[in-house]
Amino acid sequence: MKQFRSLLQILDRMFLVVSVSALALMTTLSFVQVVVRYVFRGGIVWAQPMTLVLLEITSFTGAAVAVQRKRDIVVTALLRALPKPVERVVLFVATLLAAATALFILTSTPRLIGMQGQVMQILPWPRYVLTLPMVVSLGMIALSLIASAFDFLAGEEVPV
Amino acid sequence: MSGAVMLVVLLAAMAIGVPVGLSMGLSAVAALIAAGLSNAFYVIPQQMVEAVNSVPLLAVPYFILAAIAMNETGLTRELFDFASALAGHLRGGLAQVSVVASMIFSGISGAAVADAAGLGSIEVKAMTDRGYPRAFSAAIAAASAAIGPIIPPSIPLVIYAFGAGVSTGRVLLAGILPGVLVGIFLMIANHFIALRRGFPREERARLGRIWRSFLAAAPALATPLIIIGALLTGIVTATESGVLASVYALAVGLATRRLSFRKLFKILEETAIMSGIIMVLIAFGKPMGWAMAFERVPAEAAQLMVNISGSKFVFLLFVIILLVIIGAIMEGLPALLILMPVLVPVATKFGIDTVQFGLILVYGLIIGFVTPPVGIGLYIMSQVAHVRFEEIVRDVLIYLVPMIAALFVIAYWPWVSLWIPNLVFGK
Repeated sequence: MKQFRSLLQILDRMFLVVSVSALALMTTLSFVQVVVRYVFRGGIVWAQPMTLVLLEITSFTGAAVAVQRKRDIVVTALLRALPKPVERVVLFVATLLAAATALFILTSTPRLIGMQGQVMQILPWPRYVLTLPMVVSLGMIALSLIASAFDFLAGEEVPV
Repeated sequence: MSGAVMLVVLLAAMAIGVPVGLSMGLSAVAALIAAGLSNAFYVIPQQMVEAVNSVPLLAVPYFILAAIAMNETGLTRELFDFASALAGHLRGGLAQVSVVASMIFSGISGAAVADAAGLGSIEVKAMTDRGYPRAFSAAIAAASAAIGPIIPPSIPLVIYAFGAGVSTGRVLLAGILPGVLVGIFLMIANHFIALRRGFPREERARLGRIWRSFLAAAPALATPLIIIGALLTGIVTATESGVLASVYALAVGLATRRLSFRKLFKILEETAIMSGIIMVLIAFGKPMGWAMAFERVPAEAAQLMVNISGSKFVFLLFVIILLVIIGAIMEGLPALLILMPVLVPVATKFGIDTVQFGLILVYGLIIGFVTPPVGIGLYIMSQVAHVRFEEIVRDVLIYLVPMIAALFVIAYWPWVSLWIPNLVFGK
């Protein structure tokens, strides 16, 4: 379990670096595009589709980091009303259910990727490039949730 | 049938603590199974990717980046000093300053959380230093932070525009007057609270002090000018105004030597995580909305409402009550994503302008920011002000009166929302 946690920590750093880099690139590219358009009356043709690819990367990898750091949005109004031991059991079930949902959606992505072989309009990349950040991040989200479920079993503090 | 299954699964999953985004995903899976479409599960990831692949939504990370950069580089402090010079002499003193500062900061930040966490800490410190009760200081800071997502830039309004298929610029401009209106209502409440509790006024600032504080705050004050000015003149799009604002905020940080490389990484890290939290909700909300539309849930809900009462006024009253209740038990953004596909078609059927309805929906749910038991603003201020949650609740409840009164005005007087967008873009 300790090695699993260490692996998640490393993955967390990697996802964060990817997310931050994509955000920085996205912002720079959008800004350059605005300057080129309004100052030089021109435009970078590939800027917008590239920005959208970067938005997919930032969004999904950022979400994976948020789940790993337990910063995702959870409704806790009902949970807080439960006695502590019951709350722990309910959260354990909820965490497993969340992990199962992420894994289930993940298993339906190969069919989608198989349908996305055609090249995008401006960028010379296959359409599944847009899907890959979500696939990788759903995997990370599922791993983080499984680790959290084990933490509950081991008696760690419930994060609500 | 599968619409009901979807709703039950969604509510049950959220109630037991499944993260909201994954609850939406689970409900879409349940809806597809109930509709006998088990061979179409690939639609869920497909819709998720398509949801994020949207130019208007690029504004979300940019608006977050601008607000976090302003907070991290300390420019928020100068905004508060300027607001203090302008409004400190009014009855209610620093409580009025909190509202004015929040109204100005709303022109930079599109999220109430950024307002409460950044400006809130400055407001509470200033107020407690001047002898205001800590819980009251936290309460007014939380209530005024709720103006943040109404005055542009606004992340919930960008998301609404995307979901309802209306112009982002038009919806953002529609938020200006309602935001000012909420601020005025809060200031009127402050006036009477100050009379009853005997809060002090600050000395009226001389012109010299106002001018100096204006100059110090000018770099920060330029941000709302960039965003709102760009929207009003139509020079750039809403997304581009977000890019300009965020690059400007970082440039000001560099020029004033308040932005180190370490701080820049921290700003980008926080922006990436917050964007991830918001965008993944939008991603999971899309297949859920798709499943709802596939099952004709919005159309049936519209018909049901029309059958119950054909009156627009009764429908708006129902919406106001629903929003205040939902906002009290659920966070605003997920609630917006869940309610939007159902309520917008009903509102359209009643002849309510889609732009005005966006304001009603977004502001109605924002009231939940300061409503127990979920009120995230109260939790943030509890942390920031080091005061117990229950104590803030006691002081914040009175502010629900002006906030809900403002919601009625926004709902029943369409021109409050529509005057500026109609003036700029035409009807």
